[in-house]
Amino acid sequence: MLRYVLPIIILCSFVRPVLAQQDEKISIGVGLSFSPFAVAGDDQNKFGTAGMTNFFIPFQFGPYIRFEPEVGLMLQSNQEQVVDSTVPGGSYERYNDHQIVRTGFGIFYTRRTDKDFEFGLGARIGIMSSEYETHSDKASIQDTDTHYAIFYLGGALSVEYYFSPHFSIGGELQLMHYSYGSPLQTIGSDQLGGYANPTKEQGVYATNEILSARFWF
Amino acid sequence: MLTRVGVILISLLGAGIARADIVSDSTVKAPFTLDSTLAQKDTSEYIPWSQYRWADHQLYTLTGTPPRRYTKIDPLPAYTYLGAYFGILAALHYYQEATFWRSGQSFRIRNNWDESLGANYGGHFEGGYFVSYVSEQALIASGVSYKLAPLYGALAGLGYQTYVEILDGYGSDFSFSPYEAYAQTLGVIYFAASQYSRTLQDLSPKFNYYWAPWIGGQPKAGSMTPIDDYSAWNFWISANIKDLTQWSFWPNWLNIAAGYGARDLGYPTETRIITLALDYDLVKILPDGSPGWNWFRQTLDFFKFPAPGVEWRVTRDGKSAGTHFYLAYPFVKF
Repeated sequence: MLRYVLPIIILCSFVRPVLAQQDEKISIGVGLSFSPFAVAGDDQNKFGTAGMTNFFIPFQFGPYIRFEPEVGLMLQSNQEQVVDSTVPGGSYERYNDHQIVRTGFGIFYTRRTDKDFEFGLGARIGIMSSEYETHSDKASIQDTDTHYAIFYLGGALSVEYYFSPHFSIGGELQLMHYSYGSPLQTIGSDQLGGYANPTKEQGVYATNEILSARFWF
Repeated sequence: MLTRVGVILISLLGAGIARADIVSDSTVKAPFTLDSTLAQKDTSEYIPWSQYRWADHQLYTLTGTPPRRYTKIDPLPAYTYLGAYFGILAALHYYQEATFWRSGQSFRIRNNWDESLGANYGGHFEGGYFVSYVSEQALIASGVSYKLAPLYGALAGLGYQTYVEILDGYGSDFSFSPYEAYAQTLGVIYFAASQYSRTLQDLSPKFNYYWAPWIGGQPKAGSMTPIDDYSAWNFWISANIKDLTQWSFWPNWLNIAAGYGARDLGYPTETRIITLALDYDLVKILPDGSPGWNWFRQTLDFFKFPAPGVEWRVTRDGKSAGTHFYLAYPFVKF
């Protein structure tokens, strides 16, 4: 169904006519958003959204259109000495890396009702990627790479309070669709890659909330 | 996969170059056909043609009227141009439904860093740029201001390209490629940044497509359409040498372009292609004419036409596979 809904949402995002003789100021800022909860359906917490922060760059294009690309990162690596049971008294080094990248953008129709308050109605779209890699210095143990992914898309209602022309805090209510992909798993070389559980599909619709702060230049 | 978008749009609209730098240059005489379009209108609503420029040459609009100073949607042109624009996008959607996305799966991501020897990233970069340009032109024709149209155009380019890549993620023959998404986003950013940087305006993305057998090669193994046949494409950045250097001896219509592509993908003979060639600025070479013609030649300038050049072939593992000199790249060798 998504392949029919998606084009409609994308098209609608750009159809809104803009009125004449408005202030067509273009502003840019920096911001951060805080998500208090894990992404719905992430039962094994592979995407680490709970309590994490995304950075974004808000662009205000004229009085009504706001565009916000965002990114969130978590890069974790560790190494450990592992006892090698095949060699008496032997051991080898094992390295584990975990990378989470959350990236996407939002487009909003915004309306300033007075000098302090603004609301926005729009959509957010993006990808969450979570990749686990293992590597060891023992030749007989193959490297592994497992790559999980979520595509998300949904509508959002945001409210924002301006403490000054340059600083605001806000909150956002979202109704999101999360589509969980089959993980891409590679053992050894790239030629041995394939999808784990290729027939499994998981889609989640859920309400969500984020808190945000923006500094406008 | 970005190139998919490019190809079809080219065939429907022509190919081309980008938009305006807001610099005033009172020495520039706008062509007669452009001035005359304002005869019956309140000129204060429009920016002068002398401010609607791209690097060192005039820019043109679809309607022959200069862009508005402030946004005021003109209903008839808006219905016409935005209707045509969305019609093309809908046609593209159905075309890709019938080809790339004909069989579905759950959303998947893939690691395709060196797939197509990286030529696909050139396609996605230039696709993002080109769709932004076409979107911006449709918005200007509809009455969106010179200031907002390129930014909204960039958003439309990003939105459309993202939508295509996401649907790739649901197609069992593809999957979502993060690297392709980065490349197309970079193309959109390049388009938006070019509005504010004359140097970037002097470095224009271009492309060419020649069916592989025409140039002695083989189509990419497993490609479904010309759009994903990266054995047939070259992607270029064309440098406006005259404007960059101000050399008095250099002809203002002559550019130098650096390009990248791949040949014989999926076969033992597959190679990367790195090219350097002369290029022509079609806006300066082709004669002035009606508004439609002027817009067409501006847009046609996205296409890199055959010209003298040198090609360096490199294998997948980085070994040189020979250098070739051309009188008219990629058809006529010295």
